[in-house]
Amino acid sequence: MLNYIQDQPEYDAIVVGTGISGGWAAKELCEKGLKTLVLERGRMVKHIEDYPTMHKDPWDFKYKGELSQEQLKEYEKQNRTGYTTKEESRHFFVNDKEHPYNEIKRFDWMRGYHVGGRSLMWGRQSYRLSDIDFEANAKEGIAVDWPVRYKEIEPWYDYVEQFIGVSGENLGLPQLPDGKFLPPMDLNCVEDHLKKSISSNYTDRVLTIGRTAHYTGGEITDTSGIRQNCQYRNRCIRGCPFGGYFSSNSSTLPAAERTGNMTLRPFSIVSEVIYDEKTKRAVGVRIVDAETKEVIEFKAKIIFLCASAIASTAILLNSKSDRFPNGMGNDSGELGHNVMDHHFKAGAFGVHDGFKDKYYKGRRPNGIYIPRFRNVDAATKHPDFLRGYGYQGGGGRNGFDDSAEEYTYGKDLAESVLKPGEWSMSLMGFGESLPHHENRMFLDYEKLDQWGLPTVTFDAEFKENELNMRKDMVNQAIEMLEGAGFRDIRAMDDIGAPGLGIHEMGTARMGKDPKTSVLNKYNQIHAVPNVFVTDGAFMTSAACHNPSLGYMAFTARAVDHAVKELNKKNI
Amino acid sequence: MDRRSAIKNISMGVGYTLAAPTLMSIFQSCNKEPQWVPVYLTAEQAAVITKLVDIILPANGDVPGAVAVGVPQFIDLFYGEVYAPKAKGEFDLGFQAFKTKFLAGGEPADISDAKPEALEGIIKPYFNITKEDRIALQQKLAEGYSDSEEPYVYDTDTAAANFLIGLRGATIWGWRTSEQVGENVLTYEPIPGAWQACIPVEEVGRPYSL
Repeated sequence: MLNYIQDQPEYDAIVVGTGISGGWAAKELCEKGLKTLVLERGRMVKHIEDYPTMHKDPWDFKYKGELSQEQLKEYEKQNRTGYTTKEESRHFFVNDKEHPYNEIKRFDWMRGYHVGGRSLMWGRQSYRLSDIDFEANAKEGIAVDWPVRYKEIEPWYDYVEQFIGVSGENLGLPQLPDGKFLPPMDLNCVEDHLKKSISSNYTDRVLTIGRTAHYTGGEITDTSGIRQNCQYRNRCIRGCPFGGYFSSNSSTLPAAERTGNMTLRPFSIVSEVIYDEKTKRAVGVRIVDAETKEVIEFKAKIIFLCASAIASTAILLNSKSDRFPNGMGNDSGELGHNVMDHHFKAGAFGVHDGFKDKYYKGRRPNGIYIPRFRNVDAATKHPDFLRGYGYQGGGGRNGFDDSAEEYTYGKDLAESVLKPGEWSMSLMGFGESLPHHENRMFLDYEKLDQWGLPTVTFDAEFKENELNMRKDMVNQAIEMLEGAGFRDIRAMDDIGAPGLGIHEMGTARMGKDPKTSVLNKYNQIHAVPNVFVTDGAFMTSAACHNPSLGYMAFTARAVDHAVKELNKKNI
Repeated sequence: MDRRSAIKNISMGVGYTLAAPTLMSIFQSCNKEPQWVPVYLTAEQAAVITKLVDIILPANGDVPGAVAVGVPQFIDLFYGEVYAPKAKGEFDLGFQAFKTKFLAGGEPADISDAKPEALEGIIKPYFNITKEDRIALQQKLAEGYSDSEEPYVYDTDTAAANFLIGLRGATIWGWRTSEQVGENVLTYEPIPGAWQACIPVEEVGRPYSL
C-alpha cells in the first residue's frame, strides 16, 4: 500500500543513514541551508540518554558482561567478532534472526541499526589515504584508477579532522600523510621500548601512537561543548557520556540539528531511489516504515546514500526502472562487485621481562601503529605480494603477577592476584585486499525479509595476494618482537572471513569511466547526477587502514560539490 | 529431601515470608552440604567445587577468597547458562575424571564428604607444573579444539587436568569480577580521567580491576 502524505514538504535533500557518512552529509547539507530529511532504518539513539551500559562494571551484568547461550542465539553471525555481542554493546548490533543475510561464501556482515549507526561503536582509528594508495590501481593495472589524488582531498581531510578532533603524531611519511592533530596519547614503557628497538633495528619503519578520533585537548571547530576530554575509561563501544570520541550522535547530528534544517526520521527503511525518466534524475526515495510497514515516498532535489557500502548498494540494486533494469547507476555492471575488507588477525604476541617497577594509570582507548612499510617505493618492493599492511596493537600489564605460567594455587595464587602482571605486547597486521570483480554481493528476491525486501547474498573471499601478505605480517611481527627482547612469542594467524574487519567497501566504486565504474570523482552516480554515494561503497581500492576518516572527507567534499551544482542548476 | 526441587517450587510462587523459614529449615536439615543451592550443577559437583575453589584461591588475611565472593555460585550460573554445550560437556567429563582419580586413591565413596586435604592431594600434581609439562598439556588439550558441539573425550588424566585448570581460570575470573574484589580489593578506577603512560608501580599498588 502506497501512502502519499498530503502537504508533505519537498525536501532539498535526503540523507539515507546516520553513521559516519550520513552524519557528515546531514551536517554539511543543513549548514549550507538545505532542508534535509535524514532517514535511519533503526531506532533513535540519543547522546548519553540512550547509552544504557555506559557506567556499568562487570559485576553489574548478570553474566559479568558475557552472554548466555540463549541470548547468543540472536547473534549467531554478529558473534563472529567475539567482542561486539558482549552485554556492554550487543544492543548496538543487529539481531541476526530479525536481519538475515545469505552467504555463498562466509561473509561477516557486522552492523548496527540505530541513529548513529556504527559511528557509535567504531574503532576510531583515523588515517589518511596517500597518493601511494590513489595511484596503486593505475600503476599495477588492477581494477580501475581512482579519479582523485591526494591534493584534491587534502583540504577536506583537514576540514573534518579539525571538527572531529584526531589525536596523533605527525611523521612526514609519504605513505601516511600528516594531519591536523590534537595532542597524541603517550606510549607506555614497553611500547616505547619497542619503538626504540625498531628505530635502531630498521630504517624502513617506525612505531607511533595510533591516530584516534578522541578529544585530547586543544582546538576543534566543533564549539558545541558536547565533546569533552577523553576520560580514559576505554568503554567507547557503549557510547561515551563525555563525548570523548567522535560519533554522529555526539557531533555531526547535533550540528545538523542546531541549524533547524534537519528532519530526522528513525524506523525508515529505504527500499529504493525513485527515478524519473523525463528529467533523468532521482526524484525521491521510497521507504518502508519499520514499525508500521507502511510504504511512504519522500521527495528531494538531491539524495545522499550513506547507508553503508552494502546497504547503499542494495538500495541501488533494488532501484529498478526501464532506464536501469539492473539497478540504478549500474550501466557498468560493477554495482555490487569488488567487495573489499581489510584482512587482519595476523601478527604476534610476546612477553617482556623488563619494566617490573613501571605501570600506568588509565585505560587508553588507543593502541600503537606501525605504518605500512612494504611496497611504498622501489626499495621496499616485496617479491610475494602487492600493496601493504600496517600493525596495530599495544602493550600492557594485564592480569596479575602471572602465575598462570606455572598454574599456582592456594596461598601462592592468593598473593599473586594482588600484584600487577607481566608486560606483554601484541602486533596485529591490517592488510589491504585487492578489488576483484568476482567478489560480490547481490540481492535475493526469493528470500525476503519481514518488510518484504530482498535480502543480501555475499560471494566473496580473500585471495592469493592477501594470503601471501599474511605470511609477512606474521614473520615481521615476530622479528620485531624478538629484536626487542620479548620472550614466549606466539604467532597469530586467523583470517576469518571478509567482513570481520568491519570495513566493507567497494561495491559502487568511483572511477573516470562510466563504463567501468558507478560513481564519478565527486561520489555522483555517473548517469544520475543528483544521487551521491559517500559511504564505503565508493572506495576504488581499500588501502590498508581504517577507512572512516576518508568517508567523512569525501562526504564533506561531495556535499560541497552537490550544493554548488544545485545552485548552478546543474542538478 | 531433594533441595533443588524444593527451591524450584519455592521460586514458583511461594511468597518470601513463607519461603524464608522453609529455606532456613532446609539449610539446617542437611548441613553437610554447601550453604547454597546449585541451580544447574549436581549437589555433588557443587559440594566438591565449593571446596576446590577454596583450595585454589583461599582467603588471604582480610582479602576474601573465592568462596566469600560467590565464585561457586558464579560457576554454577556460567555452567548452566553461559558455557557452550561442548564446554559444558567437557566440564562434566572432567569432573567425572577427577572423581575417578579421587576414588582410585582409596578415598571414601562419597566425594561430597571429602576432606579438603584429601582433595588437595589429588589436585596437587596438576598445579605448579613445569613449562615443558604445561606446553605438553596445552598440546594435548588442543587435540580437542573444534567447532563441534560435542565434548571431546580426553584420557582421564588430561580430562582431570582440563577440569582443574579450567576451574582455576574460572575461579580467578569470578573472583576478579566480583563487586567486592573489583571495588574494594583491587585498584578500582571507573573514571581515570587521565592517561599516565609510565609511572612507578608503587603509585598504583594492586592491579586494576577494570
